This record gives sequence, structure tokens and C-alpha cells, in this order.
Amino acid sequence: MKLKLLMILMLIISSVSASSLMVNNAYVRATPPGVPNSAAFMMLMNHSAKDISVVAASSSVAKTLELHTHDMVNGVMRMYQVEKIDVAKNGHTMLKPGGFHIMFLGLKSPLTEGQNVDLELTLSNGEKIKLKAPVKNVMSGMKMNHGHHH
Amino acid sequence: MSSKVIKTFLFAFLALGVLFVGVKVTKPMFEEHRDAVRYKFNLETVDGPITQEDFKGKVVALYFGYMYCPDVCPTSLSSLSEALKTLPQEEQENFKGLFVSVDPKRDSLEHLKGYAAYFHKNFIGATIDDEKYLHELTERYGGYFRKVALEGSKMGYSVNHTSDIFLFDKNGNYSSKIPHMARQEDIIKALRKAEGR
Repeated sequence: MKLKLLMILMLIISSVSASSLMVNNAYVRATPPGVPNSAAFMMLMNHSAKDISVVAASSSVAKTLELHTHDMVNGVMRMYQVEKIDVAKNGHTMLKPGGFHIMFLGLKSPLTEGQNVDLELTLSNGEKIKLKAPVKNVMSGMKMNHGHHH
Repeated sequence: MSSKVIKTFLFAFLALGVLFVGVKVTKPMFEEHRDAVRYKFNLETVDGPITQEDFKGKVVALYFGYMYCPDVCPTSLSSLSEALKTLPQEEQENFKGLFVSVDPKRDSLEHLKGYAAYFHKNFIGATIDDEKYLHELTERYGGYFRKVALEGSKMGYSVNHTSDIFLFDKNGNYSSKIPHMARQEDIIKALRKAEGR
């Protein structure tokens, strides 16, 4: 019960509402030792009547943030950079393991669970969204998203 | 029918029988040998070189990946670790996880050790500074990897790769392959099968 309350509270805290795009359940992966990169996952919801894209991202914890995606062709996983991540009008786009993610390159220090990371998303309409995303290890991050959507 | 024809038939029948039994007995032996050749490896760790022989008595879960992989590799290694952690502590000691980096240019042996152990204390990291060998090795396993330049990305290059976990029993014989994003209960089933339970 306590845990549930805490999770609801966390959901509220991690939801950031901008005029056009809402960000939910954002989290950044904790880094294993020796890995200078990480990835952020989140749910992007567009409650407006116009298509919007995320076109860039930045954070004080890493040198560069890039938008990346994955696909699997004949069992081979490919990861590559994309110019933008589209969120259709009145629709949503999920950034999740195995799909779209925001790649953190050149971390200034390792990311550990419990930490909060600042994140700024730049949208195609020029708007900027600032948010704080908690750092989670691989499994707790995946469980959280799982629980929220099924 | 003459007795000669009957004799010939009988002989042919017996010969087929002998052949059948022979195949039944030698086929597993043959397969074992073929698998042993197919899956053998010579790799380096920060604690010294390793081959499949070094893991006799342990169930081995082998995965090819690279440390810069932000998503797919950690997900696979975590799924394996989480499945393993559902087993009793002493049973977990039957297992060794082996993370084989196909990116020796970026992944040092020292970093690989810490990286693998981050997921489970029984996981070790290995590679070899010989990309030709790594290609040959992954292909023998029925896997694949390729470095792909990421134009304009600070990452420089990404590595396209297959994401399966290969399981070997305590005698080093191939047991099964866990596909990417397998469900936890299926991973546990595969682990138990490799254990001979």
C-alpha cells in the first residue's frame, strides 16, 4: 500500500505538463561501471490538435544527447540516430527499451539509482520542456513501464 | 521365391537394422562432437585466457554484445540475471554468465569484468583483440555483428548484432538458445533444462 502511494506520487512528480506535449514516466538508466553512455525512456503524449516532434535534447550530466531508435531485422538489432521523434496529434509515442530512446553520450560521472537527472527537450514548434528524470536500474525501469501499460 | 532371394532379403533387412542401431548410437556422439567444434572459443579476460574447457561443471550462458550498447545488451543481461536470481542461491552457483564483447576497441578487459559483474556476481566479461576471430566465432554460433558508422553521431559507430543467449550444460554441450526479449518463465525453463532438471 505504502509502495503504491509512493509510486503514484512518483508518477505525479515525473509528469511534466507543457502546453502541447506531456511527458510521463521519464527515467534514465543507471550505468554499469565503465560505460560512459546511458539512455532515457519516457512516454510522450500530445494532447494538442497538431503533430509535434521532439527534435533535440540536452542535459547537464552528459556532453551530448541524441535521439536514437532500434529495429530488429532477421534477428539482428540495429541502433541508429534519428532526426526527430514524432508524436501525432492526440496521440502518444513511447520511448522504451528496444525502440526510441534519448541517448546520453559522454557522461560526466556514472549514473546511480536514486539520482535525479535534468533533461530538456526541444520540440519542433520551438517549445522547450524541462524535466527531472530519476535514474533507475534496468529492471526496475522496465517493471515500472510494464506496470503502467498493461 | 527361391531361397536365394529370401536370403538376400533377409541379409538386406539385417544390414538395415544394424545400420539403424549404429546411427542411433553414434548420432548423439557425432552431434556432441560437432557442437564441441562449433561452439569452442578462445577468449581473453582480465584474469587470463579462457576456453570452453574452463567451464566444465558449470552451466554457461553466453551472450555477444558491446558495452556501449545502451539498451539491448543491458536488457538481455538483466533479464538473464533476474531469472537466475529466482533460483535458490546455491543453485545459482551452478551457472556462469559469459558476456563476450564484439567491440574490443572500446571495451577493455578490465571494464568488461566490472560490467559483467554489475549484472550478476557469476557473470564474467571477455573478448579478444581480433575482430576477424570474433566474426568467425559469432558466425559459428549462428549469430552476427557488424560495426556501422553513425554519420553525425558523437557515438562514432554502433554495432548491429544478434541478441540471443546460448546455454551450455555442465559438460559443455549446447543446450538451447534464449531469444531476445524472452519471457522470464521461458528463461527459467531454459536454465533448468541446461541444468538437467
